[in-house]
Amino acid sequence: MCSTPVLSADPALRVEDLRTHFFTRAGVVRAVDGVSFEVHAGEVLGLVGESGCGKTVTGYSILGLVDPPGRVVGGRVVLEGVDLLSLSEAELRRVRGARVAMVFQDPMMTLNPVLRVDTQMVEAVRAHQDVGAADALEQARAALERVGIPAAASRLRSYPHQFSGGMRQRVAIAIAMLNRPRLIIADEPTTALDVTIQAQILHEAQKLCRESGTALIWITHDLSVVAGLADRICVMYAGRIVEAGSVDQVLDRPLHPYTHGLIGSVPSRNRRGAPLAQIPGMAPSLVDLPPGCAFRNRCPRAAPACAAEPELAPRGNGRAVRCFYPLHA
Amino acid sequence: MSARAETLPFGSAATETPLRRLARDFLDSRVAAGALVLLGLIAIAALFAPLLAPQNPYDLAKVTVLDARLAPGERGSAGFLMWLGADGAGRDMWSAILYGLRISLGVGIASGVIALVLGTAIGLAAAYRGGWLDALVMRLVDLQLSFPAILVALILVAILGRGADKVMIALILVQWAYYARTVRASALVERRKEYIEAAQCLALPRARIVFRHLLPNCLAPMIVVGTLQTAHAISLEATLSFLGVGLPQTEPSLGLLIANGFDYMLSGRYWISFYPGIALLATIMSINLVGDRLRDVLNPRLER
Amino acid sequence: MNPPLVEVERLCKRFVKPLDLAARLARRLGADVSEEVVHAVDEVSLAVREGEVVGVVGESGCGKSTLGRMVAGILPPTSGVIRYRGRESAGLKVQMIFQDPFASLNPRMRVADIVGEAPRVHGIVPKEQLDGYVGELLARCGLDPSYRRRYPHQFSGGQRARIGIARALAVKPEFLVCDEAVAALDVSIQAQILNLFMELRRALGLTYLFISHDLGVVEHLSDRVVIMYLGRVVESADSERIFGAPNHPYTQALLRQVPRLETRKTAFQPIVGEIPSPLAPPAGCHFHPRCPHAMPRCRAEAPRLREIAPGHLSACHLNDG
Repeated sequence: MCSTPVLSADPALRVEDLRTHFFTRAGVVRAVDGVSFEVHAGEVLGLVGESGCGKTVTGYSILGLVDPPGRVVGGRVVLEGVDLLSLSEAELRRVRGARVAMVFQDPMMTLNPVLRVDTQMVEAVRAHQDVGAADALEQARAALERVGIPAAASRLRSYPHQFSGGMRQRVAIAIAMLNRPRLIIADEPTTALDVTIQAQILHEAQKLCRESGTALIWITHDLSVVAGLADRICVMYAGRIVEAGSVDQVLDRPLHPYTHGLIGSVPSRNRRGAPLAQIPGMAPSLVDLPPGCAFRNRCPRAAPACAAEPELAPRGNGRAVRCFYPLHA
Repeated sequence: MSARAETLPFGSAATETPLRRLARDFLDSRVAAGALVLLGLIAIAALFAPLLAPQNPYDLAKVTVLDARLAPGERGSAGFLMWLGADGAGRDMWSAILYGLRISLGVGIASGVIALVLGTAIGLAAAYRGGWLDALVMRLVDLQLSFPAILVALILVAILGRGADKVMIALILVQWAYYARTVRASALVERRKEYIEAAQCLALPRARIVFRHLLPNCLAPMIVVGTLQTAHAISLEATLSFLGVGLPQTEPSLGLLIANGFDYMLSGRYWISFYPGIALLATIMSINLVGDRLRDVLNPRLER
Repeated sequence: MNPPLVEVERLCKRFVKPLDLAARLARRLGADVSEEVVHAVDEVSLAVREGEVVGVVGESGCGKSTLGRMVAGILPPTSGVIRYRGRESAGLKVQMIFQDPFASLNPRMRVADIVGEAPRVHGIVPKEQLDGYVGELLARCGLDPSYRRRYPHQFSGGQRARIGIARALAVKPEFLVCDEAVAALDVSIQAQILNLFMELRRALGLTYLFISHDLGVVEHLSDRVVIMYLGRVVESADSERIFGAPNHPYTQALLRQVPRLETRKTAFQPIVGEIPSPLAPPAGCHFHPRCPHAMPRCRAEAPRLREIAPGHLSACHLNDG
């Protein structure tokens, strides 16, 4: 059982009104449009949404990895008192990998296929710590052991292609953990993996965050994964957070009609054979999104008032919802 | 890595054909658009040479040796301004270049098209049949491509003899290998795709699958190779003509014009070689720029 | 009891990587070089009755996709028989729905042609009626028929999935093999497509072989479920039984590890070990290295698929008592 994380008063990461826009030929795409949340040490935050909702771009924005035509146009990302968005590229490079690390869906985005694993890990250590090669190698070996790779010392000398998909992802997680970051952002790391391997990765992630007190942002579209892993959830739609709260609160009593529809879409044991509750239509194009609630064209509760922009309203108890007509109002 | 535009939902116009999308992406680059305009002008000049040229340089009745080696800007005995000068036999350079462009472009494009058809057929067959045919074809291609094209062309011309048709054959034989290899690689990739499997599942006749489904999707790299190869063919033909083993004197291409003018370079009559050289350079460069842009734009990474 | 619509008997698919010239020479000279063989599908037998939805579940390397392609007639089997209504060939009656909504449509063809090509070529519908037929099909699959002059790249993933379904339906099939048909789709779109599948089943009397790695989806849709591991069937039973009382240790582990919406803050208890490579599957029972109940017998002898209860088959030595 996961122990209750010790919540310090100061969050490990606070994102305030983050805005990232893409300036394309077709128009301005407001991929992330005013996203705010906090993550505390030892806490797992699930950032949930479907494709195009902006969850991945949020993760990239935090680390300054957004390439043109995209640009972070506003907001603050405060990590241990420092606004990451105000740092220069050189300063940001010192932060990446040391204070904040990222795990991607494809482990080959982290791993260089032509270098041995020990070379890459030693390089990652020595980029941020002033230690000798032998010491760095020992840290690498210990990191591989911590993520459950058997015979770590000899596996260090392998190349990435000699590992299976699940193992590679574990190596990527080990690299992320090497410099004991305060925060890890994991972008769909288990989506491409088999169920049994996914379970292993989730197990490792849980263990690591329990033991080292690292804050974890787990970006995914899979509500079921988030249900078992996360402490808190933020649901994103069309570049904004539409609902936030603890996992139990959001999944058992969703307030936003989108969250409710999303939960109903998941095939579940209880409703075998019956048609799934489906959200009609598709997500809107983010190019020049019209004002007002982005969900109103698909919402069963839409009313004329929804043409105005709803704010993310706190509901006490850590809950917040962006809707004029939330359920269980 | 970066947050790419693929994560954004699409938003495109009503009936945007792939061609229109291609044109739109292509014209995004001003350099490429400029190159395309230049190429168009060159093509029009070549096509309408008889109308644009004040003199047919190969009509012996119109040309007089009295005009020989006139400098640019002087008037010839027929009365019109020779604004690019005249060559050693009294031919107006501007007219000679226009007619020369015709030949150069004509030979380059014609040999390119024939090599394309030949190479595509061979490459497709190799990809589809696989096995020994594929191995044989690819070894032939490898063998041919390991020799410099000019060397192969020279050898072929030496064997076949002189003449316009022999030059064409040589150019075709040099170029087919590029097309074959490109089409084969493309076809091998496309063959595995699910829409081909779907066509098989729907029991469509094999010929239909190859020509209606496989081939159109292999076209993208082919167009790129085609453009760049045309430039290559033109340059190759110019080299052969310059060396004196290309097209005969009666059908002078730009290469031959440059060769003819070489003797006069040291005596200061630069225009006889120089202007045909500029024309050749402009042609090849504009084709290459267009081909480069096409390659960037047709890159499958951008396809959704 | 309906007679089976599709019967698969002892189906095998072996992929052999032939030795190149150098390796053949080496073998001639006495080196211990042999061809690499992958038993993608290893003696699989199953039967699907008319109107049924049979789900095939497994992880990477289990052979479910290969099985699906053989049943659909795209891939020839190495050995074994596939019978459709007792006959060897199914023709157009068996169609396949593919996983990748991007790669499964010809990007250079308009939607109307994609859907209408096969009925036209096979003469299923006279030319004058083709346009109307295509429009009807698109509408039935939840698409606006006025979009039929568009190209695939102008549609979203969910819409492309629908086009693929319309294309399959155009030749009036009776049996659909769905190979991870909803895996690439968002949850909300997935729900729409799953509902569409169910509605088509009712309206057109279709039978499905639904291949997926997603247990939740399979549970929702299927009447019967077949679990595969490294090319072999390890368990097969009604949905209720498989999910309620799984017998095979692999099925049990799989079900235990599937994340579910209802379970919160679980301590995940994964099975140890990696999925073995299909190139070198473990001897005897393929699952024995990862099985918590492995016995010496499991290493030596491959268990046979036996009926342990009516309609419930399982391949495990533990059932031998």
